[in-house]
Amino acid sequence: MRAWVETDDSTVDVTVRPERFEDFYRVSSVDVYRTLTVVLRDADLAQEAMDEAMTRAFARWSKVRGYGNPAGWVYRVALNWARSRLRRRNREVLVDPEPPGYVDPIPDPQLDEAVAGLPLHQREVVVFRFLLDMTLEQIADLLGIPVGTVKSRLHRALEALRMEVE
Amino acid sequence: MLETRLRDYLEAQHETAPQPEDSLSEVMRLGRRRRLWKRTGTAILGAAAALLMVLGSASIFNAAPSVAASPMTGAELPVINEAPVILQGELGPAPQIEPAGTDLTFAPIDEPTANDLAAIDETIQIEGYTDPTVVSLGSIDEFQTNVYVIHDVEPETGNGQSSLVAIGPDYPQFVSVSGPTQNTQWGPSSSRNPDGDGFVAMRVPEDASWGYIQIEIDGATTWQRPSDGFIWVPYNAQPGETIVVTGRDPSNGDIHLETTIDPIDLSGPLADLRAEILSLEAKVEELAAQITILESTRTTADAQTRAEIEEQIQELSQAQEQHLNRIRELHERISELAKKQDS
Repeated sequence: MRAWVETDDSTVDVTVRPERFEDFYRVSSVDVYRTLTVVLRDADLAQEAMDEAMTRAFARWSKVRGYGNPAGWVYRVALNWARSRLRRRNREVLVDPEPPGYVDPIPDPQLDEAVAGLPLHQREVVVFRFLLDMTLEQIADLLGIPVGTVKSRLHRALEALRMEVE
Repeated sequence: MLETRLRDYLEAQHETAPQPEDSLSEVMRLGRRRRLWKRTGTAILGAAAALLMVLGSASIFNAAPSVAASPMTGAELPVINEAPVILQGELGPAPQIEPAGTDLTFAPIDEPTANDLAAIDETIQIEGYTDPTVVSLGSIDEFQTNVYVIHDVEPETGNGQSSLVAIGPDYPQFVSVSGPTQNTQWGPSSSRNPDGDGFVAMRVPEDASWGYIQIEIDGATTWQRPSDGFIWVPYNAQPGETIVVTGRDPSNGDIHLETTIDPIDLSGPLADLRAEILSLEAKVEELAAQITILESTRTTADAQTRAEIEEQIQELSQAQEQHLNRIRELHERISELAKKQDS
């Protein structure tokens, strides 16, 4: 399980706040990117979104490093950017959804299909809750939405997944 | 149990996701460029807007469109000479925008909170460009604090917009919006900041998945990754100098563009006016800083001191306004000179 908060056995310490941006990038980029890949299901888009968010973080690092959760800020910017890009992409060309940018064997094909069918705003909540193990309050804070909205999105997402896999 | 299954699945997906590219150096390079724009501050913003107006009427942008041949197909690729038209406006309600003449308003998406301002850069909804129901999105680069450059605003007409907007504390607000540009073809455009440094912007197709693109300027080769549909190539052009830019995507190999851009002549009267504008802009900035300091001390002062402070603020504000009026006159003068030069 990924850890949103610092724990002894954490493999993802997203609350780490190095002074130097380079250190922050080294510590955070892999997990930020991989989580974005899971949420967005598009490795190329995830890379672009992370690069854009990291660029903005670096441009204002003196401020961002003082935030309670710089990696959370990067997630948020990246997701906003990706959401905007997806909207534009959907508006421009109607094509089949792009496949994920990686081709490793899918661990649970049935569940994978169900997760892929979730709207992005529900999928991101599911990933933050069950991959990063964030609390509802942390998710609300990260996404800038009320806790009630997080609850309803999560509830609807799980309901939809149950309908598909159970 | 669905939750357990979900955790296992997500964990496996996370673990099997590829490693990201190490983009640290590129991220820092772009970040530095954005910081540089930030540091240049309001003075450059004002002068840049003026210069953009000048450039919009100068020969560099109004030259007849040229063409370049695609090495793959031999077809002629149009070279777009973009001519941004900056419409100056006051902070507040959106003014009319050309060419549609409809109101343009900026509003955030997805129930933003004040905290979203830091992260909202890419999430701007533009309504009512051609129809009240139309929603268009612009990709945004931070230009300086609270001021954003929006590229590729795409109303349903299919044309894009290059826009200069300011998003203040009472967001949404804006300063100015430019006229239309095309966004589906390759083409160079250029602009300069008031220091005489410049850059060439080459627009790349939005729907293409571009990697790094090879850029050649005067025989020197660099690589750049498109950002928001553009690649930006810095150069230090001297009046009369010709810049040759070649763009090529090595992974696709079907785009090749070469163009020559003659930098606008900034010598003579234009240069003098430009220098005066910069000087005045610096004074305006200095006055603004003094006002800010006074305002910060006002709240804790006693009644008498507060009255004195308010009087000082008023004097400084009046001086600031005089400078701004003079700057506006200079902008108009520059426009007139540029038109004469062009004709």
